[in-house]
Amino acid sequence: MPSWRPWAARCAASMAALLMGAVPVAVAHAADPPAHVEAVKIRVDLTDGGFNGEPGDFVLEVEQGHVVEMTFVWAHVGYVEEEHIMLLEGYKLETEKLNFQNREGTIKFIADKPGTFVFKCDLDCDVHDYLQRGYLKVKRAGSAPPPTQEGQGTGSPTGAAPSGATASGSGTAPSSGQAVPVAGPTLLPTKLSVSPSSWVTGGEPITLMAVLTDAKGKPVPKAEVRFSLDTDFAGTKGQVALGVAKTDGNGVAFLDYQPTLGARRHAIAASFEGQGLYDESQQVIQVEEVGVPPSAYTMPPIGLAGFRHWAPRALVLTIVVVWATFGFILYQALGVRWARARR
Amino acid sequence: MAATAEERLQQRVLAPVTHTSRAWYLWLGFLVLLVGAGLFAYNAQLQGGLAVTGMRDTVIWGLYISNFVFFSGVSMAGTFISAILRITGAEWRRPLTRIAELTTVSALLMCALMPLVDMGRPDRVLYLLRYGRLQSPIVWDIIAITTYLTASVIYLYLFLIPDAALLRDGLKGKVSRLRHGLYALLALGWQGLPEQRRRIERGAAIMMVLIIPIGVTVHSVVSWIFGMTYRSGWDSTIFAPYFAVGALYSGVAMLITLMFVLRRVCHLEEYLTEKHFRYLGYMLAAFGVLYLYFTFAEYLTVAYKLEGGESLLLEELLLGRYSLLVWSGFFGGQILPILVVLLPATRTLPILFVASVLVNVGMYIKRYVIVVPSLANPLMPYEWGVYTPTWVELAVTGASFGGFVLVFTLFTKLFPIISVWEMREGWERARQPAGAGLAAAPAALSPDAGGGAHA
Amino acid sequence: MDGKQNHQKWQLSRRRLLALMATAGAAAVAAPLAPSLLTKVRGASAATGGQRQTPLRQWAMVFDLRKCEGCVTTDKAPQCVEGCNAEHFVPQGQEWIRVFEVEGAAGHNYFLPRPCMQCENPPCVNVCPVGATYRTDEGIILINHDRCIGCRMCMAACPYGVRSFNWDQPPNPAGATFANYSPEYPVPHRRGTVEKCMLCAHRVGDGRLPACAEACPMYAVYLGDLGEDIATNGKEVVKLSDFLAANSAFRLKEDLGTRPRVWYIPGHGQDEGHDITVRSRPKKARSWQEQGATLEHKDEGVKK
Repeated sequence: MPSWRPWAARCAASMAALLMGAVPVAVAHAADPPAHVEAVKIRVDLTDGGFNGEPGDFVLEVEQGHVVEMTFVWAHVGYVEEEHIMLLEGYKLETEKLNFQNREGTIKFIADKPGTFVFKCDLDCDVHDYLQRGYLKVKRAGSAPPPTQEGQGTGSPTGAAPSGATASGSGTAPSSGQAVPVAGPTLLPTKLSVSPSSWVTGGEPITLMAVLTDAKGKPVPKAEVRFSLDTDFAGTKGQVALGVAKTDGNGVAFLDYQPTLGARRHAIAASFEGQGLYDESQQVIQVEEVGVPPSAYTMPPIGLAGFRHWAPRALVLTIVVVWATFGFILYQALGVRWARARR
Repeated sequence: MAATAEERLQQRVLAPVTHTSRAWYLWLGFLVLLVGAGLFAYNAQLQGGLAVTGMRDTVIWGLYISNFVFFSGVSMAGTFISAILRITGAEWRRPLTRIAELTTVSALLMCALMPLVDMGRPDRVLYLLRYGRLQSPIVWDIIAITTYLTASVIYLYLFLIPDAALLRDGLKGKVSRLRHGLYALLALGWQGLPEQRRRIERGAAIMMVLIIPIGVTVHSVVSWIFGMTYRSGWDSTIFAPYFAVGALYSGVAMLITLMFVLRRVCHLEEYLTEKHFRYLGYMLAAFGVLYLYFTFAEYLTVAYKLEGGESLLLEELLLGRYSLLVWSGFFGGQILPILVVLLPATRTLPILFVASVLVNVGMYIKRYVIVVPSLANPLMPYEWGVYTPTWVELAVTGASFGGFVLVFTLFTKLFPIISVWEMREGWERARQPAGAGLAAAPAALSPDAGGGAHA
Repeated sequence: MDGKQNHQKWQLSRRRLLALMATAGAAAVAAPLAPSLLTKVRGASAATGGQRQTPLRQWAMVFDLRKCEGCVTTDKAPQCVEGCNAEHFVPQGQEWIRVFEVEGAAGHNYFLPRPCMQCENPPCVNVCPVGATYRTDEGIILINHDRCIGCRMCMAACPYGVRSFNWDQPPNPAGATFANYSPEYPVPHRRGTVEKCMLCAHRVGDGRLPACAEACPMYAVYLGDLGEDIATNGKEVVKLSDFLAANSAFRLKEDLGTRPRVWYIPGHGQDEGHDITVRSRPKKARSWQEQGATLEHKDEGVKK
């Protein structure tokens, strides 16, 4: 056999693979939607042997400014009791708990921060740490491979890790080195609306409802909405935290509020700080009080009220009786004088 | 026979009334000086404020309140002799009753003065009547002490009526008209009539029962000045009975002391016999043992638990800065006198007198130890308070003792120091046929039995 | 016979007359006394002034001990004490708020500023014989120096030792003699009466922080209102109940049942860099004379 034949076969195979990979990429880019809308989909299988079957470190690379959607799939065969909460450090995102019943968890975000970030299982275990730790490298937009020192994750390795994001199944493999136009990190706008938006109260308690939706009107679940109150006390203005509520699947959060302040008008601000790819939003509502709200504090009574009421009265009675007796005795003494008068 | 005995008695007790010796004037002069020094010191206090005393923001009460508690304790004497012994029918009390009642009255007068001296704003003393709050232990004190003083004065006066009549009749022409008029007034036209006797007896019968709870109340409320606070050493539930028993002890001791002195000075050897001293000695020992029991119970429960501030206080009392006072007061004032009484060899009059003086001193130390260390004990992490009485406080204390004795001195000049009426009553009862000896209460004498014969 | 009978009748009627007189006399004496004996003394409450939207104020104080380090890091005397001294011309030798250096149960040393606890079940008010000290509706314990007789029973009763006595006539600032005395601002001071911290009733009534809170450079002192459930230290405003619960606040001598209104958040000045291995004592606070405080420039002694 001529020696060039196996080499040619390998070359052809790689070319084919590249072309095969390139086609979808080309297609994706040919379609040319704005880079920040299309998500880079990454799927990571959590198997007995590690991420995608490989133990040890596991590195993915994306470009800065891309929208990234990481899907973790629970795929244990042997360790069927294993549970994971996958956490992406730096971006502070995490999935729900993945186990036998709940096998898929996704985090979606804009990779606006360059650097190397660790993603791992948040449940503390040596086994997990060894098998399930990976690195997400976010390359600076339109530049050479990102400086590995800049990672916000834990001690990213300086050496080259096994490269390439391997994607099994569907999904577009990210291509490195390709300059993708990026408009800078743009977050999805959200809208927070609180009802009632203004109300007049006599001091009775009320439930505030906050609805968090994105630009399309879709609800944003599991978002933290903070409520605070603008106050002025003893010459100091400030915001008092009323409470925090998490939105449910419909993007709705409830907070029970009992007005205690006496100011005629005050403002309650509900705010959402932004999470993942959602932008922050807030709304301020006005409260007007017509009456005096009830006091937030009732002093517990001092004990033995009945005794404290009657004891002084009993004492006065005793004193009067004793002194009346003295009077009687003195009267007896006077009687001595009168007895004389009889003579 | 009885007439002679009675005449002898009258002679003896009326001697100081009619005849004043030079010694008496000297003694009076000394007492007046003592009281005068106290008044001078008080004036200094009025000028400079309470800053002239040794009290400061930690030890806010000192000698004045110690005196207050001491004199309130001494005042139990009268109640005990006149009331308790009368109810129990102890005939041996008869020569002692007037001395005892006088002790009570005199002690209460001094006791009432001490908090007045201690006030920061004595010009506002009437506020206590105008704005007095029944919830305050101090107001309880005022009410109780006033009530007790009134009761004691009434009680003292009731049996003074026949004696005043005696003086009115016997001293006509021998004393000034003013004095004679006083006796006549006080005698209320006493002629020894059965009706009059009945009235006196009725009054005394009521009073002797009433005065016991009043006396106990006084000591209880005095203890509650301390007992109603949270201070270590004061926050004790047994304070009221503790003080009441302490008062019995200290009252009997003061009685023995005064009896001894008066016996010598007024030549009352025939009436204040060894038997009286012995019996009083037994009572002293009995109350001493009871007081020991209370002291022991108090300290044992504290020492066992060693709770916070109490532990600190107990250490300082038994082993620290107050240990000398506490142990000397304990051994000298509580152990030794009991031993002295119980051993026949030491149960002589002079030694008994010394023992009673030791008890008084020991009880005074005890009052000081109750008041001052609990105040010096820090409530928060600061240093122990320091208290050193100044000359003002010492002078006022001296004056209070002087005043206490002054009342006796003046009284012996005006009235018989032994109740002639009660002695007579006792002799008559002794002459009575069967059934007279163990009378539980003085029955009204029938009109025939030696009633109208004596004027 | 007739005469005797007459005499008897006369005796009886005289007896009855005397009995009536005695009863009338007793009643005449008891009647005016009875009301004052029976009624509890109600002190004058702090001036409430006009219409108020707030529920009745229930004043409280919070000391955040994480921030209090006895002013040792600033190398000054405790500023809360100096502020109070200047504001009220506190007589020499008295400290209405006092900073203690305490050794905690774990051996850590920390600083504890202690004003009057403004107890809800105050032993001092309970024992006062003339009702000179009283608790206002807003929860501040005041002293009426027109009525105090100087018996010092309240000082014996207070388990925190917050009260002081004017053993002699304290020097008052110039012009104080003609100042308008009120229990809310007890200047001028008088001999023979008791003094203590009154939660700056004159300031909080005006909507200002107490002098100690304003003077604290660490913002460790909070004025709180339990009625509105709010507290401030001059810099931030917090919800009082959440602030206390979230930081495990405690009160002094809780088991005595005095129910104080002054809370402490446990700490040892760690927020201000106090190191438990370093022992340094606070300096001695200056008197109002040393600070040059005068009636005209009342706030100048208070630094911010």
